[in-house]
Amino acid sequence: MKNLKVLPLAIIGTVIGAVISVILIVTRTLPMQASEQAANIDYLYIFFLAFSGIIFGIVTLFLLVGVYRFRARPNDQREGKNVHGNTGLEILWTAIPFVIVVACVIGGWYVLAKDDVYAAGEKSGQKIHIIGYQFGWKFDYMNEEIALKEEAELVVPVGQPIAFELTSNDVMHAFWVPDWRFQMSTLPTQTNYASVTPSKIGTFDVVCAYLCGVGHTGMNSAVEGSIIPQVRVVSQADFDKWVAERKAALAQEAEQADQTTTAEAA
Amino acid sequence: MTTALKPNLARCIWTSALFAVLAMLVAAAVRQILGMDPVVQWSTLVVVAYIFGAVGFIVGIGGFDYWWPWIIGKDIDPHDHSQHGAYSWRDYFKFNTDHKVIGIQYIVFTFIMFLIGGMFAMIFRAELANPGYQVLSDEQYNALISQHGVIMIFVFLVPVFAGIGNYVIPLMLGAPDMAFPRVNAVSFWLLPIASFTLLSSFAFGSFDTGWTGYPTLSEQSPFGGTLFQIGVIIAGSSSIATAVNFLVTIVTMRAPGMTLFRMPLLVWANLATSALVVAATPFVAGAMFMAMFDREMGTNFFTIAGGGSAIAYQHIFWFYSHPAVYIMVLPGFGIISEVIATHSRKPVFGYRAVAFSSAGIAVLGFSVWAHHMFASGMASWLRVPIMISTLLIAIPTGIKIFSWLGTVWDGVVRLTTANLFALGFIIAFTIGGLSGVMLAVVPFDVSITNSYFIVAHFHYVLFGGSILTIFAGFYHWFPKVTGRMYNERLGRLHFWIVFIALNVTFFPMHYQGLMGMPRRVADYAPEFGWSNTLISVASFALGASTLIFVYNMIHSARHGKPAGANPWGGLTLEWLLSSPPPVFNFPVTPRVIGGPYRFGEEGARHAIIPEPEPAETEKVGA
Amino acid sequence: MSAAVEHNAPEVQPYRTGLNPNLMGLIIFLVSELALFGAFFMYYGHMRFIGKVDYPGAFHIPANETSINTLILVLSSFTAEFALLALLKRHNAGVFFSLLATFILGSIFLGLQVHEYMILGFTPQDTAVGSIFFSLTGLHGLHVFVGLVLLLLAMIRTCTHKWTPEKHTGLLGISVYWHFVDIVWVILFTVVYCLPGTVTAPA
Ligand code: HEA
Ligand code: HEA
Ligand code: CUA
Ligand SMILES: [Cu+2]
Repeated sequence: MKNLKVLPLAIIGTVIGAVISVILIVTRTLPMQASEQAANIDYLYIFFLAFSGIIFGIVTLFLLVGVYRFRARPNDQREGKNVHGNTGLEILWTAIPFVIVVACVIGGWYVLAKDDVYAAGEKSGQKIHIIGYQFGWKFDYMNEEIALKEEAELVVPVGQPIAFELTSNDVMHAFWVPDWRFQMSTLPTQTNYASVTPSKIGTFDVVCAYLCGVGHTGMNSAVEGSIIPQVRVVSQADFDKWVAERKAALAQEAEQADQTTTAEAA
Repeated sequence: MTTALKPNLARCIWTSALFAVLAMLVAAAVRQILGMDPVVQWSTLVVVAYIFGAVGFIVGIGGFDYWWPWIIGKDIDPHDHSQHGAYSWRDYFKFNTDHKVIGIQYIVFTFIMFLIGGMFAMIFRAELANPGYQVLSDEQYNALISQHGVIMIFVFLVPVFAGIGNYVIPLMLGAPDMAFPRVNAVSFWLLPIASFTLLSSFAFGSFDTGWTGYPTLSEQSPFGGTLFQIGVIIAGSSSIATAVNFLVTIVTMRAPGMTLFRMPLLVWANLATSALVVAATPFVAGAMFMAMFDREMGTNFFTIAGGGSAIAYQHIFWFYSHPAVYIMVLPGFGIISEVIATHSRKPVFGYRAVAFSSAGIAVLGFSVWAHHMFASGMASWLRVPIMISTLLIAIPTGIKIFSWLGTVWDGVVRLTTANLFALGFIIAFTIGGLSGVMLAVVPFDVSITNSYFIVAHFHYVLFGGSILTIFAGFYHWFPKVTGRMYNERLGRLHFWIVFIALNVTFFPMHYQGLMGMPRRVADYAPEFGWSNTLISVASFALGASTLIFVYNMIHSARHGKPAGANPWGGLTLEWLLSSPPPVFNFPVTPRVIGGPYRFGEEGARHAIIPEPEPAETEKVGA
Repeated sequence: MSAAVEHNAPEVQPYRTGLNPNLMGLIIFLVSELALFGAFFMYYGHMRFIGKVDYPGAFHIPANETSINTLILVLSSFTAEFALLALLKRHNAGVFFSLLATFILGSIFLGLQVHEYMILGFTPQDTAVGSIFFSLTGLHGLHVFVGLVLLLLAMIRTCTHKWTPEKHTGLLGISVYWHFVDIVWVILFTVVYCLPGTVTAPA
């Protein structure tokens, strides 16, 4: 009998919650999806918003309706109903969250497994070593044998898995490209591995996400006045060109260095 | 002259100075003997001075006055209650063994720390109000957020629950006091020391590592970083001592008839919390010790040069600090059960489920620490198991939330301020919990960790969760503690400002985080300008609302309407006593005859106090 | 005033659990002590068994010499127990000398430990494993030291003939603490000195 009153309300709560979910989903603001992994992560987020809206709707509706329906009038001396529980209900509200939890686990695990392209990146893509330092990044292109100087920009080809190895020279940093939905910390005492597949050509902000000292704020290319360059994603052809240029520049530098040493020696 | 020898704050000054100086001399002598260079290394000496100054303070306040005579075989009267109870305001500044006095000491002291921590938030919110730099430099900004986090967590949120528990639990159990009144007093007096240590680090360049204090950044921070570590260790010892006390009290001091399943849910919640504290807090002490040795003794736990492992710190730290977040919210859950049941005139729905879910959360809480490290480069096989255990915690928490809804249903809901805070808590905590569930899912967490999304999550659970429960508890027991009613209109005004400002402050942070605003930055991309202005304005309103609360409490404690013994019609034992309760609580041992929430049962009672002999009643009333 | 206060203090009989609150408090406290050691063991395991990092300079930890030390500490656990047995026979001198024996054995242990520190080929500053070795053994040594102080205090109180077979929780507590220190040492000895893979064969 009690459940009869509760059931319609639960349905209304679900409907209102669904409306909240839809509003949340429609008005969600996310950065651009600039990697192949981004889409899946955003689907996860949409799924979260869907059940969160409904849970929130139900909880809030029951709370508000309960408080309104059962509010005490002034000088009300009545007592509430002496109910101590209801096993059926309790099982229900253990079981439903359990189902949601299982769904989250499956979704999260699936996306995690699917989006791990490290092996592919190592085999056929770019392998790039990122070194965080106070306060900037250094990049080593392991396949191309290019080691960039400090404060250089990261240039990567579009559509190829990239395998990153990350370390740090001093303190912990975290290499974060919000448009890629990609973040991994750089720790001074170990190497971390992570991978991503950029899917859009353009420039994207690079953010240092972990507090690393006074320059932490500035280690974010989106902040005005920052000297950190954005990451640049280019087509394969442009990338090859860039690699050739870098190599030529490096060779020239080496030659110059050679010449100065020979000049000095002479 | 004699005041300087009696156990009191005046004696503390010279004992702590004496201990500090002696310890410094000994340290210098040891360095001389070991042939270390230089003999007078000031950072070592300051560390030693702080640690032994703390011991000296406890000696001065009277922490050992009882034990020493006992050791040398003097007759100790276990019924010596000269340090028990407050008869004037001065007794609140003394070593006092009365759990009610200690409870008030705790609550008032930690609330002052809340104001200070909140003040820091106000300052850095002013900095964040607009893009660019306004009032703070980067160093100052980092110092302020670190102090904000540490003060809020270690010397406000964890101990304030110890304070509420201290006041209420012995009353609820029908006990005359806690099991170890002196240990109880010592653990309170450790807190001012810890707070002083933390705040005094401003004099030594402060610390700029965030409340987590990760190496190797913590190795770089100025000397204040060491004081942060010492402060956390002292605060941790204090909470361990209290937890031991709670556990023993709850197990051995229950009044006759108080079976486990007749205990009020606040007691259950504190039982689970105390178990967590005992098992988890030593880990943070361990992490802090190691980091401190690295800084002050040149060890190599986490250094690059010595082949240390920076991630090991994170594992040990979070092995405490995740259980710590439940330490910071479980007692609050207990408060909510009391408040909602009493003010909605209805038994707690599913009493056993609520009691067991606390235990479930406590146990599961130990298996989820690494969810703070998904993007730290920990062993990758650990990620999925941790994700699963983290998500599972949503289930016992959900049981609690739904049980409280079930408690409201079919009740007679009185919208007192205490109840408003409790109901507001349900909504705000659900939001915070749901964002926590999102964070538990590895790929999503990795895409936004260390962003303002995290800040939004933990302020929803900390402010929208714990702080609202604390306010609910303050309003609920205010009449019991002071004997007077608070001003209900001001209370409601406080609630509504808090509730609205809280959401306006912390909800937009989700969006900022998703859009790529990292945490712990003094400046940010221009696109976040207007939302940060909004947040800052709302946060000032949030801060201002606290002033209403403080005014209401202080004014009502002196001029409020007399409350009588039981203004809310509560059934638990503390409401059987006068307000404020007599110094020794119960004139005769009460007898518990039923469950604690028998609302709606004709003439039902939880406990009775057998009629004392008339002569005794008189004295208690006097 | 205080006279009136004392008079008002009621006798409250708590719910009968048959537990000794002091002993229970001590045991819970020891659980948290164990957790403190746990933090250091966690680090040790992380470095040695997961990270497979060796001692500085592949040093050989003197397991054989230390086993003598272990024996001494285990022995002292028995002498601590003798103190309680003597008390049950109301033999106060027995209590005192058992405590004294425990104290001496404990001191020898500590002395040998310090001696080991001096002959070791590395210092706490030498690499992470050096740091954790000294911290683990040092933390334990600190507990032995605290135990020695407690034993001393117990000896003082023994001289005043205050323990009785009925009421001696203080003495019991100290012996429980001493056993705890002993047990932790046995664990530590097993993990740090004996576990395969941790003792590097002498070169
Ligand atoms: C009171 C403190 C508190 C509480 C209770 C929680 C509760 C939870 N927290 Fe939170 N958390 C913090 C304080 C707290 N947290 C802090 C301070 C940090 C940041 C530390 C730092 O880095 O500085 C943090 C960070 C943090 C992270 C790391 C983020 C990161 O750094 O990348 C994660 C990830 O998993 C997480 C998860 C959770 C989860 C799953 C819960 C769950 O316990 C929540 C459970 C509750 C609910 C789910 C709502 C009610 C349930 C229902 C209505 C039932 C139905 C619901 C479902 C089935 C979904 N938290
Ligand atoms: C219980 C815990 C708790 C509480 C209550 C709060 C309360 C608040 N917090 Fe805090 N916060 C943390 C715990 C908490 N915080 C933690 C752990 C961190 C992480 C730190 C880190 O990154 O390491 C953090 C970080 C943090 C940040 C992120 C900083 C960054 O990453 O750059 C921000 C940003 O807005 C913030 C804001 C606020 C605000 C506006 C409040 C407001 O609710 C405060 C309201 C203000 C008051 C209640 C005081 C008002 C007082 C007066 C107006 C005057 C009276 C004063 C006197 C008489 C002295 N907090
Ligand atoms: Cu580098 Cu933050
Ligand atoms: Cu956590």
